[in-house]
Formats: sequence, structure tokens, C-alpha cells
Amino acid sequence: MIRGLLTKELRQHGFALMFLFLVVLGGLALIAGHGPLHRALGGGFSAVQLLHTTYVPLAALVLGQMLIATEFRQKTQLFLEGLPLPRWRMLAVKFTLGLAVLAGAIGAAIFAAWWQARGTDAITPRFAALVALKSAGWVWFIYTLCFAHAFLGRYRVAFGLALLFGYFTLDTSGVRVSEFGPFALIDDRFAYERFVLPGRALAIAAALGLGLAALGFAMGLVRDASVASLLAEKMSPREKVFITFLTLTVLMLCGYIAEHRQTATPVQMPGATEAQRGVVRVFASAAVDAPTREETAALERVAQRAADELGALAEYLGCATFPPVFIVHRRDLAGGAVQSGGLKPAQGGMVRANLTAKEFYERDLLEAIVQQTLLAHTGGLAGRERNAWVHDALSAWWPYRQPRAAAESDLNPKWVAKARPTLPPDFSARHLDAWLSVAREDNLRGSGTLAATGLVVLAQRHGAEARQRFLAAMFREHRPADFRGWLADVFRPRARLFRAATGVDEKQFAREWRDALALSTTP
Amino acid sequence: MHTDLPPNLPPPIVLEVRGLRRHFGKVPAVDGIDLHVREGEIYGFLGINGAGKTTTIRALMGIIATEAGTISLLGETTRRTSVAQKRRIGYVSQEQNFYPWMKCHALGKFVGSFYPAWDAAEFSRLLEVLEVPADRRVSELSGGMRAKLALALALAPRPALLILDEPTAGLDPVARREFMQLIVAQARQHRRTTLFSSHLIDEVERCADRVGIIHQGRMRFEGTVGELSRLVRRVRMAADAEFVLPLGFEIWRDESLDGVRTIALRAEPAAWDAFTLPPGATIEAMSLEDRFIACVGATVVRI
Repeated sequence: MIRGLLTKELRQHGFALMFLFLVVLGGLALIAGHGPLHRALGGGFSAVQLLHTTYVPLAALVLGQMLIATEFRQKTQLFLEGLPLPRWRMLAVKFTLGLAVLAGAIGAAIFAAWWQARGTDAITPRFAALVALKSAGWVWFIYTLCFAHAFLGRYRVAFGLALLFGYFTLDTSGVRVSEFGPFALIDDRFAYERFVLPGRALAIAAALGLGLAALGFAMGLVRDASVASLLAEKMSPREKVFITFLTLTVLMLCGYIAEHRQTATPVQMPGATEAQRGVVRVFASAAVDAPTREETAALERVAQRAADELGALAEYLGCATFPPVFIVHRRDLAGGAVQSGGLKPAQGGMVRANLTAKEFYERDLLEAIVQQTLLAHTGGLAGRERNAWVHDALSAWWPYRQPRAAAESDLNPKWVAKARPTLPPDFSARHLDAWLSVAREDNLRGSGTLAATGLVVLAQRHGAEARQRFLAAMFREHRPADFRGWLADVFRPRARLFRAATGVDEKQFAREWRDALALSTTP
Repeated sequence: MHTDLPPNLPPPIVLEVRGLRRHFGKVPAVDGIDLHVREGEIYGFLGINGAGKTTTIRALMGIIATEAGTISLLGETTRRTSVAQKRRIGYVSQEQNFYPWMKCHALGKFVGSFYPAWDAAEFSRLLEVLEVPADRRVSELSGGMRAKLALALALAPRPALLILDEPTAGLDPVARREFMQLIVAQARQHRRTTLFSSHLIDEVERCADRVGIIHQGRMRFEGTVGELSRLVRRVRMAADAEFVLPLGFEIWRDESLDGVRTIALRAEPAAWDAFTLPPGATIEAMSLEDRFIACVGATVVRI
């Protein structure tokens, strides 16, 4: 029975199997016979590593498609089902044959590498065992993955693409995929490591392989017509459209993430003045060829002041991490202008200003720095309309904060004068959700000041600790600029954080705020 | 095979199904059917498309599992047909999903590796008799040729039971006639028990010793064509004539057309003997097709 099945498989796929076998041997012969190429790769075992990363996945994919997918696509498994042949045996023969071919090809490659290196390299039994074990683990994992994948029928192309792009997306997103389980088996140490047995990676590869093999067999055996048969049916036009749409969406998403991550490279500022306070690092640099002594002194002063302020802020909020801050001195900027550097959140915060201009006002720079830093720290979420009033408030209030709570018993008359025109007549909690509209109404003139008065009123009515708790709840955690940050923002909305931190709801607070501004004196 | 039984004893039962049940989702494909086939018998399994014929046959072949019921096959009772039992069955499926790249003789060699009793010489002989070119690839064969190849593959292991699932579907009338002649010849010659499904009445009427009519997953009738004739008859009367259903009778079809009403009635022969025709009514001749339609069609038809 088994012989009949094996003969059939060999007759059906003999050429392809032979081709796969010859490719690996041909590749090795080329590497061995071609001196420069051999040296470039670093020896025969490096060539084996190259085969593991290129040939093994491709060959496993081809084997899975040939042995499994073809049978279900052509519906010839229905013919086999009519024969006195248990279905599991048919699958077991295919599984074993494919694994044997792949393992045989890699085994031949390892043998060839050993043959070539036997005169020059010290091939210890431990090294040989390590190479063999790592190869076996990797081949087992990749083969079982492709085996299970072959049962997915009409979804296998879409799934394969998603898997491939998912891998590259993770890889480019900073997730060290190469250090995970099976991938660690064929890392750069493959050809050189002579002592350390990657036990954990081997165990993960073995367990994953077992799971994938079980999944493949389950898809081929569960149900009468088997899940694989159902999946092998052709797609309906509606399903084609849906799958195409889904695949394109996933690909675009992967592309977007990859591009986003790739361009978010750390900012390099050679020769910058650096100041550090705890988790805070501030870099200040002049965008001029030769900074004057005055400019150098200004850079030093501003960097130290910004580091002081941000260090205090990070401590006040309880931040375990803080984005780097970059200050760029530009002579060409108008006196009091402070520009945002336009970095991605992952890169940190950047501001530009003319630090030596007469009209330059350091607190304006600090306000902009706090604003940019909070945006970077929260992955941009601080700037969303629902969070904007708190973001504006902290940025505007922090450089002017009073060290003692008693000093905040009255609102600063200048602030009141600036904030009152911005305050909508019917000011209520709904304006806190639509803060950008409030700011637009006033053409952004006093919205920051108005927001800052809110923080002062909050401390006056409910205590400075309540204010600190609320701000810390809003900004303590670093948020990545992706769906995780978005989810956190959705599930931990500002209003809920406010109530939890202060014990009052925002409706009551808005009334208190409005009344406080109405009753305060102006200069 | 029991070939020397006393002539007064019926041949032993080779295949018996009791209370077979199988649903696909909420739809009952087979809903508790019973059937039995005796040794050497040709059994026609008749039903319209979707009646449950293929599900029953696939359950008999162990390709699908059953939810309830037992299958007694070649003296062994099981819930699901085993590999050992399948080795004694020749099976021709509705669609021939052979490997298109294989040549006919290679396909025989491949299939033969699963049957201990495979007769390679018989396979070659059958290919010759059926005029199937042994050196031709399956992909180069016509539908009729493939059906014949399937029959040769099913007969070559000299099975005790031959099961064919609509084997002539898709064949032209000539090929169909030849194919069925071969099956009958094989069954008569080797006393081979044969069960074949079909929705073609003439085919069943011509070839089958006994028929089973399945409808909506239930067995509506099992017996010989003659028994069906004795049980089901049609009464013709005026459309406005009064008809009272006698005790022991069942209306299978009540049809009114152009002022004439025809009622297909089912009753035991004894009841028919005691039946009195209403005034002006007559008993009308019925073909197997009429009886089949009465059995599985709509009960009341007004045109």
C-alpha cells in the first residue's frame, strides 16, 4: 500500500524532486569551485546557512504545493478515498516523503560542506552535532509550516503573502525576529558557533513544528470531506473581491508600517551641546557653519534650562522614559518665532528658534519644547482634539508654574485678561472635547493661556495632588504611534481619567473653571 | 459466495443497512433508511437528484461517517466500513477523479497495490473487452472511456460486491446502454452482487432485479418492479366524481387535467383485490416511470 503510494508520488513529482535535489548540489558545487565566491561567503558552512535562508523555505513551499495542494486542487483525493486506503496513511506518506527529500538535500549540503572543510577547519564532533541539530530544527519548522500552509486551499496565496509581509514588517519594525526560536537557529553564528547549544530555540522549533504538523493533519483528516477539501473549492466572485481587498489592505498596512518605521531613524546632531537630567536628554545645535561665542553660550544655556524643565516634568509625571529633545538655533528666523521641527513621534521632539535674537523669549521656547515632547511621548495622541486642552494646558502652564501651591490661590490677572476673550460664553464640558474649535474661534491667541488657567483652577478647587494625578494619568505612559496607542486612548478616555484622579466630573469642573475666570480680576 | 444453497432458500444477504442517518448541517441527507441486497442480485437505487443516493453510497464505502444506523457488509456489521471490507468492494464513483497524467495500465498497477486479490490479467482483459486503450493517458480519454476504465478498475479485484454511484451520468444513450449491459453480464456471469444508483427509470427497469426508491432521505419503496406494480395502481375518473379513500389505501399522487382526475393509489395486493372502483372509474396502465413519479413527485397536482 505504502509502496504503491510512494511510487505514485515519485512518478508524479519525480522530476521536480530531482530538480530540487540537484539545485542544492549544484549550488554547493558552484560555491566550492568558485574561489572568490567561497571566500566571500566565508566557507562551506556559511553556504549551508545561505541555503537555509533561501533554498529551504522555497523548497519546502514547493514540496507542500506539489504533494498536498495539487492533490486537493485536482480533487484526486476523492479517487483515493474510494480505495481501501486510510486517509491518514495517504497524508503520512506525503508528509514523510517531503520531509525526507528536504532533509536529504540539506544533509547532502552539510556533507559537502564538511568534505570541503575537513582539511582546513577543525570539525569537532560537537560542532558537527550543533550544525546537524540546528539544521534539523530549522528544516522541521519550515517544512511543517509549509505543510500546514498547503492545506489552506484557495486561501493559501493570500495567507502566504500576509505571512511573508508580516515577517518583513515585524523585522523592519525593530522586532528582532531573527532572535526568536527557529530563526535563531540559522543566525549569523550558524557557521561558527562551536560550543553553545541553542536549547531554547531548538525546543521552540520542535514544539512549533509539532503544532503545525498536527494542524496540517487535522485539516486533512477532520470532517468527512476534510477541511482541506472544503478550502480547496474555488472562490466565488464575491469571495475573490473580498480576499483581494483584504490582501491589498494588509499589504498596504504592512508597507505603511515598514515605511513609517524605516524613516523614523534616530536624529543625529554632530557637535551638539548635550544636557541630561535622569531620563531626559536635550541636544542643542546651531544650524550655522561657525557659531559665534554668543551663540554657543546661548545653546549651552538653553540646553541646560530645557533639561532642567523637562527633567522636572518627567519627575512630576513619573515617566520612566522620555523622548530626546532637539533644539536648533537658526539665525534666519524672526526674533520671537519658535518653529516645530516636524519629527516623527518615534524620533523625539524638535524646535527651532533664533536664540540670540532680541525678541527671543525663553519661556516661549520652553512652552514649545514641552508641547513637542509630549506629542512625541504619546505617539501624537496628546494632540488629538479630545486630549488637546490638557496638552495645551500643561505646555502653557509648566514654564510659568509656581513652586508653592499657596502662590496659586489667585489666578494670574494677566492670564485672566488673555483667557477671557477666548472663553466661550456657554463654556461647558463639551468644549473640552472640542478644544481645537475653541482655539480656532480665537485664532489660537489665548487658547493655551485659557487651558493653563484650567490647571490652576483645578489645583485651587481640588488640590495640587489631584492635578498631578490627572496629568500623570494622561502623560506618564509612553504610547507607540500605532494602533496600540490608539486603543489605549479609546479605552482610557480623558474624562474617565479626570474623574478617577480628581473625584469630580468634567461638567462640574467646567462650571468651576468658568466661574473662577468670571470672578477673577484683570490688571 | 454461497453457490450451492438449496433452491427453495433465498440467497444470503450481502449488504444490509438499518436506520442509516446523516445530516449536513440542519439538512437531513439520509434520514433513517433501511435496505438489503442479496447475493447475486442487481439492486437499482432510484431517486431524484438530491434524494440521498450518493450520501448513502458514500456511507457504505466508509467515505463519510454516519450519525446512526448499522451497516452489515459481507457478514460483518459496523458503523463505518473498514479498509478490510473495502478491499472486497468494487466502487465506481459518480465522477472519475483519476490522475490525468497516468496511463491506463499504470493506473491499474497503482490501484492494484491496494487490493490483495487484484487480478492484473483480468484488468488487462477488461480493458480490451471495454475497448479502453491501455497506453493512453487518462487526460486523453473521453467521459465514456473514463467510466469504462472505472468499471475495469472496480471489477479487476474480483469484488464480492460492486457499488456504482450513477455510473452512466453524463454518458450518451449508446454508451449508457453498453455500459449497463456490461454490468448485467458481469453480475450474471460471476453471480456478483451489484448495487447501482440512478435517476434514469428505463435503466433501472431494464437491469435491476430489485429496486429501492429513496426520496428526501427516506426509503419510499423496496422490492421488485413487479411488486411495485402490484402495490401501486392508477384510477382514472371524471374530475367532479366523488372518491372516498378506502381503508388500507394511500394516495401517492392526485392529478387533475382537462376534467379528468387520475389518482395513484398504494395498497397491499389483498386490499386491491377487495377494491371496488367508483362508478365511471377505470384502472389505468402505469409504467415504472409513472409509479416512480407517483412515489417521489408532488402528491396533489392541479393543472
